[in-house]
Amino acid sequence: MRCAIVDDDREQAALVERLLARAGHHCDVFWSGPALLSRMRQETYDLVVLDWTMPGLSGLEVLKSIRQGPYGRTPVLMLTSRADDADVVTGLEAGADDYVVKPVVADVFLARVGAILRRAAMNRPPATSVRHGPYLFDRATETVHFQGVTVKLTAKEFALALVFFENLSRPLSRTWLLETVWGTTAELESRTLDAHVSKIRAKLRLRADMGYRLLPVYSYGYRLEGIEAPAPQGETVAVAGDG
Amino acid sequence: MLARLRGGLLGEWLALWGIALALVAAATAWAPFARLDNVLHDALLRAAPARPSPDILIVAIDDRSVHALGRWPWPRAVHADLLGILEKAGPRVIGYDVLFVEPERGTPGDEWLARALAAAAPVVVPYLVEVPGEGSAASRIVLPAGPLARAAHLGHAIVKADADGVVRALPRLEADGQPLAHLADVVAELARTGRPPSAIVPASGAVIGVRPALRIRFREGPAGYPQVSFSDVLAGRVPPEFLRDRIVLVGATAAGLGDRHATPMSGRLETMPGVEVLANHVDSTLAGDRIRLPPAWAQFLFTALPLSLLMLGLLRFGPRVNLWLGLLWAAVTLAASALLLWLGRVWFAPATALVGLALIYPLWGWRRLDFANRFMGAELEALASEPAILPRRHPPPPVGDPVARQVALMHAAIQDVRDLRRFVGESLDSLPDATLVTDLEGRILIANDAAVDLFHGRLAGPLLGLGLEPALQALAGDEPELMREARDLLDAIARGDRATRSTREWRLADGTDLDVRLAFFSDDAGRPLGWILRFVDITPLREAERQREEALRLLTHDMRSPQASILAILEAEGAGLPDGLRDRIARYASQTLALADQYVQFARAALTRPVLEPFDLNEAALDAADDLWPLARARGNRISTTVPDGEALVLGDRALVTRAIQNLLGNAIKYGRRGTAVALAVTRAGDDWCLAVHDEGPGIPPAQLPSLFEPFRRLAAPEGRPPEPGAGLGLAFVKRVVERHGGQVFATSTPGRGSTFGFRLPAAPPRPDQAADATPAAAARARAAS
Repeated sequence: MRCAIVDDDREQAALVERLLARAGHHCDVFWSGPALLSRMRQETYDLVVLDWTMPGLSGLEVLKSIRQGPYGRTPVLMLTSRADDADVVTGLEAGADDYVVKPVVADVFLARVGAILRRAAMNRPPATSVRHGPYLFDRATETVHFQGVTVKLTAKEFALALVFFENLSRPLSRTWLLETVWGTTAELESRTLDAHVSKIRAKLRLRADMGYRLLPVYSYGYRLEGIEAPAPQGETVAVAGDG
Repeated sequence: MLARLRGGLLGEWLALWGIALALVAAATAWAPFARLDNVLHDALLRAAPARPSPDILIVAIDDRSVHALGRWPWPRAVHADLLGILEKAGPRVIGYDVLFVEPERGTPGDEWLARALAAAAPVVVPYLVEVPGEGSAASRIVLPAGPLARAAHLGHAIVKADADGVVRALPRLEADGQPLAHLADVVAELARTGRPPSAIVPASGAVIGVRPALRIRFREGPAGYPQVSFSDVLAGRVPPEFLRDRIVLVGATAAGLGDRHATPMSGRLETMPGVEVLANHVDSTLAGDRIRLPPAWAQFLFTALPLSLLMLGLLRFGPRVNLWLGLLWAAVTLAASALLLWLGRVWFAPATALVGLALIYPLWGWRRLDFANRFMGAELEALASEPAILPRRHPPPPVGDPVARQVALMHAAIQDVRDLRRFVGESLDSLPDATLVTDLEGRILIANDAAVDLFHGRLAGPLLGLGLEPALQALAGDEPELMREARDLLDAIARGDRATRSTREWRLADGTDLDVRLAFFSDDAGRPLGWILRFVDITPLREAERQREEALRLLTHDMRSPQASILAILEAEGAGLPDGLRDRIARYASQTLALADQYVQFARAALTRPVLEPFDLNEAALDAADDLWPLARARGNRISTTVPDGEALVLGDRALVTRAIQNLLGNAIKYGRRGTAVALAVTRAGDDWCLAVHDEGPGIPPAQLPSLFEPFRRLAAPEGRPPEPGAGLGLAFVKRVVERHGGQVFATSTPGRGSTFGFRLPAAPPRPDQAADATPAAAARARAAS
């Protein structure tokens, strides 16, 4: 895959380039937004990793230009030093596919990149039963098997759980979830979604010790995240949070 | 208050009506307006007189006869001669209204007259009734002298005028309860049936009584009947055919003979001879059109009806309408009276009703005015005794003359209202906030100076009298969001929705931030009067908030970026460094990052308003536990999470509360012993949800517990371990967040066994109605603005 990295901080850009190269992607690095934008007239990228805070054109403005340009559908991952929920929502609503808060943690970053690229390539025929990690989803009976138990879900819970697993690591907005699972956003109480998320989280035991975290993206929606191993810099995660 | 006024007036009205009915009853009994009634009665009779019957002929003892036959009284022989001539002509009845009570001495005249009377067709002659009689006798009855009394039919010939001297009926007398016949009645009865009426001729001393008599329907007159002179008949100048079969009444018409009476037909000066009165009576009796007087109850109803109708009108209509109604009822009463008299031959006296109609109008006006006056007086006194809003400067009202007192009170009240109006206007003008006062429909009644300034340049023309709609549209400009907000506000006003959102925040096109507040005001009784719309200019406030926010963002970014870069360098190129050095640099960089995050979060929790949405505290607890899971694993600790079945709904900012729980968990993991469990539990405690984090650490001395939640406090590190990194803001953040959500933090510890930190938050109602307001988009907006 061809990736573009835009960051005025060369160290960050180098790290990101290294991580992506390790995952087998080819990377072009740009120090500023206009450089990327002019290059994009000749080059097609499968992913743009965009730093938020840059002198001159900010990441958000670059994102908007990309979305308005001829390559508007290019996936964009925002990198930000800002750990504020409002910024995250602003970025996602402006059309970013995902965001990662600095400092970049390799596993998390690559999982997000993977989710974006997977989605871009995804065109999966519906199967009667699907496996996601330890979970086996049976569409016919709307049941989920894991660790030797079988859990019966309601139709909406099943559909919602499947949507989360099919979009692993992706931030999913409330509006999108409601439209996808309920078919409408009208007249649904905002708590409905929260209540269903809470139900599937309890029924499928979507907890850290199962290797999954079902996280709220505050004021935006939810994200299901897989955990491979404990992060080595645990303290940072503990106090800084992630969203 | 007005109900009391109305009730009081109704009482007055009922009283007046009762009094009017009582007066009508009294007037029916005593007829105080009989004179007016009589005038009306006579005028009505004159207005539509009946035609005299040609069957009746008067033989008049007129001035010409007196001149021809000599001085009155004439010898009986003259009368006998006349009777002889009449007898030959053959009249139907003769009524001879000449008294023959004294015998004629020295001539055989009485004998001759007696023979003539007996020979002629039935003749009726009068007898004399005098009341009282001579001495102690009740009456004296004098019959015609000697043989005359037996030769003819007898009848008394008393003509009695009403109190006003006008004859309207011939009296019906009775003697000791037996009816006496009037000469005219006898004539009429003889003419009709040929037989005299059954009546007695009383003896002297009988008690004479008078019974009510039907009135005479007078014919055209005076001098309406054919009349021939006595002397002409006597001289044979009247042809016998002229007399044949007629009712002939003989009587005096000469002015000198005195027998003349005022009648309804005779006007002011003319009089009518007695014999013509008799003729009218006979005529009216034979025609059957004599006039009855109604029974008292009927007369009462006749009088009471128009009065009651007018009184109903007084209750219902205004003065002008009632004036016309009064005139209408008077006319109707009079017309009814006339028609009943002419066609129904019954006389309903209208005078009482007319007088009543004329009186009730001013009477009611007076009562109403009096009552309104008293009411106003009472209200003014009450007002004067109530506590005043503004200091009172009026002299105390004079005691004594009630009118002077009332005027003084009124003057004071009006002055108070004027002062108050000025006070309200100046108060509003002195307010720094633009304020509009509108009526219920949203028409602007008052706009203070600040409001005029606010709308200056946005709105052409004056604010006063304008509807809110154009005013708000001028504020909203072309911004679709503001136009929607303005529409929403106008709808709330149109619906009279008092429970509508009372505050809104508008950002105008020119960058002005307005806090728009809508309030309702009502009168003393709580009925709605209008709306007060206040625009608070919070531009500087919002600007300061934005600058602060910007500063925080810059701070966090500028502090975080270099640390993130250090970590990136270590990650990318740190392979060349000794392991220990790389880890130490990484740890310090991470600490600095954590400090920046902690500081910013703490500042933001203190400075910005939390967004209140219902969320499940259980979920927040699970989020935090999942978040801390890697740290716990790295430290060899477990997090055991216990949450209740069902939702633990609280109202608040889920992100802030989750971070607070993370801080509690992080502390518990940091200070707990390796390999022990950290217990996170959500439980119900009364109206609150309680979240507690328990560690099995060394515990904290009780004396240190209260100060732990203060900023920049840090615990001494457990023995044998390096000091934990941190700015001492973790628990202070927890306390601030929890208190801003209306909750409380708590901490308990048993040294050597472990500590429990936690908080309580008020439980939200299970189905929060704020849900509508807490849509993700709205929350995001509110967040972006904060």
